[in-house]
Amino acid sequence: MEGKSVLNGFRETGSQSDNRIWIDEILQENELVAAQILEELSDGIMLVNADATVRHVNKALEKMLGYTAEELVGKSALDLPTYGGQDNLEKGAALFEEVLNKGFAEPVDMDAVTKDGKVIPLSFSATVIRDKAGNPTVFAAVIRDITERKRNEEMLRESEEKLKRYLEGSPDVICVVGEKGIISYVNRAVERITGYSRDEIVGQSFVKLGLLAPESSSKPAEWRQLNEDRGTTRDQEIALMRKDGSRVFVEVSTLSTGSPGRQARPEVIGIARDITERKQAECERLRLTSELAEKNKELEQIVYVASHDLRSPLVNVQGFSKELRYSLREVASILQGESIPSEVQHKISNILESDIADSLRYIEASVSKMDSLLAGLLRLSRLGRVALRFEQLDMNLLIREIVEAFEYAIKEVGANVKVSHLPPCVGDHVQINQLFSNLLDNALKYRDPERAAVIEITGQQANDQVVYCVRDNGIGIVKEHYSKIFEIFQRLNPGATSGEGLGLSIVKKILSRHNGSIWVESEPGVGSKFSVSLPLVSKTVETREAIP
Amino acid sequence: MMNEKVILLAEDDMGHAALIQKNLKREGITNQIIHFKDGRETLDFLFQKTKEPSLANGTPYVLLLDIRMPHVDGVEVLRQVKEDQKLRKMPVIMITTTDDPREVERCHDLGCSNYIAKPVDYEKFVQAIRQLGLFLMVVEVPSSYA
Repeated sequence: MEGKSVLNGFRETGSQSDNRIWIDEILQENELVAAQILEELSDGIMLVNADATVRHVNKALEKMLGYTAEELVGKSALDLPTYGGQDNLEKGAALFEEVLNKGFAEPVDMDAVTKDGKVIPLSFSATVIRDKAGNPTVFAAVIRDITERKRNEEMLRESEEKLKRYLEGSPDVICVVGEKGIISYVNRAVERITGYSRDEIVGQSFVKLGLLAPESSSKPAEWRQLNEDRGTTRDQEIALMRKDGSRVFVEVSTLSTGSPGRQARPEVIGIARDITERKQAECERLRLTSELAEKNKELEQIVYVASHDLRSPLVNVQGFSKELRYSLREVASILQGESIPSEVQHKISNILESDIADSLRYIEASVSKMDSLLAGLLRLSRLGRVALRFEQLDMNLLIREIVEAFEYAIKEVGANVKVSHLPPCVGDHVQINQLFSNLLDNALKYRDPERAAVIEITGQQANDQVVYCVRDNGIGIVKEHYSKIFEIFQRLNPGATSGEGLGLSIVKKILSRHNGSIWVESEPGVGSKFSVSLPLVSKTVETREAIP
Repeated sequence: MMNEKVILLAEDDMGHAALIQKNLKREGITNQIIHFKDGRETLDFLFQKTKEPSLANGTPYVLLLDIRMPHVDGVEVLRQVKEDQKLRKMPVIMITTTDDPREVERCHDLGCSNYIAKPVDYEKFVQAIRQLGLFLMVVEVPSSYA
């Protein structure tokens, strides 16, 4: 024993027995301090003798397990009531074994059953204390209650799982892109949208996978810049190439993680929404719109050319009919001078004056009918081609001008035209004048001969529109004809009134160019009310040029 | 004076040409009328690209031009005539079926002397030709295109 102890040095400085006492005192004192420290530790401490019986249990461990030191001391550390089950008994034995072999044991998590039957998670670590011969004398186990840690771990796991469920449940692709564009995470939606499996994507980059359509290949670099500048990008449209080679359009928002200062190249979270359907609908709408515009243009061109070119032969039909008349007159005058038997002369003049003249009359009547139809078509087609000038219109002034222009007709039929104060609107002066002229003309034309015509013109602002009404007490229109009256060449009462049947077609066409609308309410035998809506302020300044 | 003038009539519709000639005659216009059936024939004559008949120096001409003609239309003929230093003084009267205000304006801008719409209504047509006859009688026509 001598010569090996670190305390040997003390012996040389004084009498052996004095030193012994002094050393013992120190040792006792040290043990006391150590014991006190053990008692005050928040971790549980269990000292176990070499024969595996419990030698000491500190206060913290008593509190942890609910057993008093007396209840545990002297019992086998390998068979305590706190083990709870076979599993833990084995774990305890293994821990002992490890300590014996290595001199210490790494922390092991193990559940323990407290005296009142509660199961608590504990972490065990242990070390061995040996005597001078190297034999183990005491095993010291440090036991920590890890309930709090376990609960935190559980909460973290739950919250992570929840977050993952949210991510996985998202119909939008959510991905995390790290340095060099390497994708470290992507949710399940990517499989549906791109046709690639997640395994094929994670660990790769968008560029390497060929996920970006050529026209969108420069986008990620732009985003990176934006991300560095602002930390985020929003709703960028790009095209991706699906695994099968088809294109899918997505709207991408990105967000940098962390502050750029802390991490040279922070991860970027990208969220991509499939907007292919919307894109297709947009394309389809554009296509239809341009097709419609094309068709409209074509139609106007056809109407223009047809009405124009059809008039040319009509000039001949009419002209040569007239020439025939001249010839007839000449033949008739020649006949009179000749000595032809009166019977023959009578027959011939019958043919000339009745048959041929009748035929010519029909031809001429048809020609002029055709001419007026063509003129109407031409007028309608021109209406769509002429350039409009939108301006604020003083409707009181405009309607007064129209009523003045109709003064003669109004007096002739004895109509009473009442105009109330009218709010202004925006439109082309010439066309709006034409519009209300046509409505007034109709109101006068389709009056009821049984009573004096009363026509009222009113106007009211409704939001960003102005609705003007032209109400009459005329013959009225049956409901079935409400839409028909706006069709080209439709006339309500062809025998009784004059006109080409274009008035309301023109009104409708004018309104379509003004973003306005017209509707009718009517009761046969009582009267009709035509309502016209026009914009209060100009939204689109139309600078549509005439088609050459 | 009137008798000297030669009327050049560019009209692809034979019927229209005949009606115009008949009615001019009825109005007492007995001048020589040379008829071309399209714009190209008219230009060939005016720019002396053919031997016979060809523009003769010293003869005063008046050109009656239809607008819608095959190959070269009336507006193009008018444009070329008005761009030519010698021909530009020649009176050009547009006689056409269209009364489209924009077309009328275009012809006036190019420098036509008069614009007459061919009305389908025969009475109006006769009136228009009568007006043309009067115009032809008073219009000053240069005779030198050299």
